[in-house]
Amino acid sequence: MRRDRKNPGLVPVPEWIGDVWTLVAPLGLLYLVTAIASGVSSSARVDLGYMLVNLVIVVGLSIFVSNSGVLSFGHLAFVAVGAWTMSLLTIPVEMKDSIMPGLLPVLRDASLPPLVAVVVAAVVGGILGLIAGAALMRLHGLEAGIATFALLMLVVQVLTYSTALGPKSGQSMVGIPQTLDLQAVLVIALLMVVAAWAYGRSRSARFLRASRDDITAAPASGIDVTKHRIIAFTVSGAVAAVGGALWAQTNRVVQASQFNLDFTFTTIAMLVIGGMFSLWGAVVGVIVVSVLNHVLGLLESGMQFGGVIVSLPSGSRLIIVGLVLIVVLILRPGGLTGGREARWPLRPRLTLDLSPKSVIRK
Amino acid sequence: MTDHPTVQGESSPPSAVLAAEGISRHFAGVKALNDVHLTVPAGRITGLIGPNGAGKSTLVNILSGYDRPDEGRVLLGGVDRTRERSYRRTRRGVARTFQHGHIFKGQTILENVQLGALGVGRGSRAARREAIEILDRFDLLEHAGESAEHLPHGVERRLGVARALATRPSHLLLDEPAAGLNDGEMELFKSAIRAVVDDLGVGVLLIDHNMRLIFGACDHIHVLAAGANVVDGPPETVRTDPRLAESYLGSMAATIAGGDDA
Repeated sequence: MRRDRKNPGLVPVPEWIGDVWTLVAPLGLLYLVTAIASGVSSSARVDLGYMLVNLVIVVGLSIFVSNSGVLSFGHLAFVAVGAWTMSLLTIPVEMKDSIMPGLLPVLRDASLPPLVAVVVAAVVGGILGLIAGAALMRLHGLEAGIATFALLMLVVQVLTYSTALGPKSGQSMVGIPQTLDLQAVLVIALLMVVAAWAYGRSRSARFLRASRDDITAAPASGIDVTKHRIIAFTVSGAVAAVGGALWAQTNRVVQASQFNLDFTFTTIAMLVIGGMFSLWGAVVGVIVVSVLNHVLGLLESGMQFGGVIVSLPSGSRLIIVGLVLIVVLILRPGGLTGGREARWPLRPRLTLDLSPKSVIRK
Repeated sequence: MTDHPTVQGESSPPSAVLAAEGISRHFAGVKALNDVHLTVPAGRITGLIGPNGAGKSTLVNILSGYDRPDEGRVLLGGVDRTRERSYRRTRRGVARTFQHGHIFKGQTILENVQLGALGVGRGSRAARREAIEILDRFDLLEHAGESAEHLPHGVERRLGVARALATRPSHLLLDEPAAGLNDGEMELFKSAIRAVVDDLGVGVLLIDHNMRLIFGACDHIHVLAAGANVVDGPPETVRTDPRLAESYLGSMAATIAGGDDA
């Protein structure tokens, strides 16, 4: 192995360690936070469940947003579809008959084990992503973002009013069995992080990040930006729908109106606070905002500090998260991670291998 | 690198000619180009000069698929490609650079050049190897691992050409590639372009305001003014043609008289 010329005695760290670290760091952090939080209190365990669900949703969102650089305001459409799929496939038939009498026969009779239902949710989310992407991805910048929001409105309206697909308008689906425990949800969340990382290393994602850097120059390198945005939107929709499926069996009550602006804002705030241009940013953002949320929740219900009870007015959580978002945007426009992937901490610089092995010269 | 195989059978053969035939383009009533003809043969450097606003960049946009003409055709190897989208045009062998760099700033210099090769369908390993070869050709190898975010002007200009070359073009359209280079950098740049043409048989279209570069490097020169062909020919005849000076003076006179500087 070559020696570093500037630092004799040090063996240069090969590039691949930095690459693998961009996966190991988010997985490790997620595992660590889960391990710690699950031992704190039962209320922390409840919030931990929601954190893992939000993590899957935000990682799904980041697959599209962080690679393409186009902000999507409509990803809850995929979450809603995933939650719906999970509910319809796991609620017992007798229960479906009583709360959703108008349900399509094929949906009434469908019943699948929860893990299979999660996979089906991913497929349904992916198909929605493909169809919507083909229609929307010719748009650029803000137009694309607004159009994704229209997609959410459309999906929510259909799920609200169609009795063939769900309960009567304004009513909720109940009776979703919580069969996946915290450990199973953690494993799925870790798998989704791996999926996002793997997509991020693909040729398609590299092309998208190039187009994110410079949309004009991309076609001059032979890149079909529209096609790769559709691919990312599809993968992203599938992962967000898995998040929706997990959300359904964690929340156990599902209603179309839940996929609203509050929920949209929370997921986007998580991504932006962490740094919207990286997977690492998505993971860090979800963890930071979730921990903040948990602490604020405790304060809302009153907490004792040396004889003084501190309690925040209820509803102040979202206000504080909003303020944190603004402060982060002002002080660190790239988010807490600066929009970069996790960096190998032990040595400041990784060496680029330009040795004869990698360069075959004439 | 002497062999220059075609990419996936899509790229045009090196001997092909890129041609603009009777191109007209209007923007909101203003005629940017009016019945313009131009050919870019392989293995040659074709110069395109003219005062600001003559329509040179509009013509490059049309040749590279970034814009479509209102009238006229773009032919590559005799086949009409006028309406083909820009990324397809690139894969077919028409590469271009931009006046304002348009570098992928979030990537390293090596990655910028690799993207050019990956974009036209090379495998990762081949893309990396070719990118390194091209960086070497433009004296950029020592910067390979550096971020492209803040580049010295000279490096940015060379990187733009290197990235375009990584798509293995049959034709390379260079829109003011040497703007802002000092004399030393200019000479190096000129010999690098000449080497690309001689080694790879690429047909280059060179737009620049530096007449030393244009008349020193080009095999054939087209002069464009106010969106129309003025004169074309080998450097020695264009240099002394009265219409060359006229086209520049005409535009200056119009500017002085208070007209727009089109």
